[in-house]
Amino acid sequence: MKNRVRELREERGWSQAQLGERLRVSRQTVNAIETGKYDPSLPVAFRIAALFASSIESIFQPEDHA
Amino acid sequence: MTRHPSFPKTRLLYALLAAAGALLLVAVLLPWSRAAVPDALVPWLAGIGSAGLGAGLLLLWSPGLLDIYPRASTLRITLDVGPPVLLYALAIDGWPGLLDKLPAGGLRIAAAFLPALLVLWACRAFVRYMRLLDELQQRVELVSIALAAALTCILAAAAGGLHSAGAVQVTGKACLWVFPLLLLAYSLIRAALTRRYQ
Repeated sequence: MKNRVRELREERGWSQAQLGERLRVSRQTVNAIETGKYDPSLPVAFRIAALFASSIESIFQPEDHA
Repeated sequence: MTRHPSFPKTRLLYALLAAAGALLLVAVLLPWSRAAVPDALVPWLAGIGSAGLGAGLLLLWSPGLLDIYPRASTLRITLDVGPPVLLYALAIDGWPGLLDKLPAGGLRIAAAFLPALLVLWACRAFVRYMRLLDELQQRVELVSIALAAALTCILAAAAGGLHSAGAVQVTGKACLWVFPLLLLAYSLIRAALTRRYQ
């Protein structure tokens, strides 16, 4: 799964730790999501979408759509 | 990969921890220094040295290990997990000898269950620790403990089989080492999984 989490975070000037606090996850988890090593659960994906005021599908895309 | 701004400094601290552990281990185990250390202290100093060396090397290899739990909860986790693990370490060293001094009967049987109660206490602490973690961290912890349990079962079964075959002699006291073995396997697997998600 590809995602735009890093891009959206950097647009807002947040660190991974700051984003983690907002999402109630650890910095390590934010890093794993950004690098595509971990796909978040649906509740966390919804929190990410709500935080960036976007839809889930505009943030997360399957690899074959790249 | 995004790293902490203080990453090189923390790596230096981990290297110092490993070096201090290695020095202590070498100092305790070398024949010329053994004479200066009371025999009763040797296993403890060797254990502390090994723990320092192991922790330092693990942190150097997988620096994200300290990112797993919320920093604000460090004291709570330490106070939860530390006492049962430390008491268990003491029990391994002194409990069989202490049991021998107790009169045979109900009291000795009841006292023999203490290590099992300490493991139960540690399990409770682990469950409380898990509740502090997010979904990825919980996955890492659960996979680590499951693989460690599987590995420990395999080793215990192999030891039992070899004992039955007369190839090795496994004493009852060896059962006390199953829990430390589980913790060691868990620590190594957890470090590997944490590194994978860094």
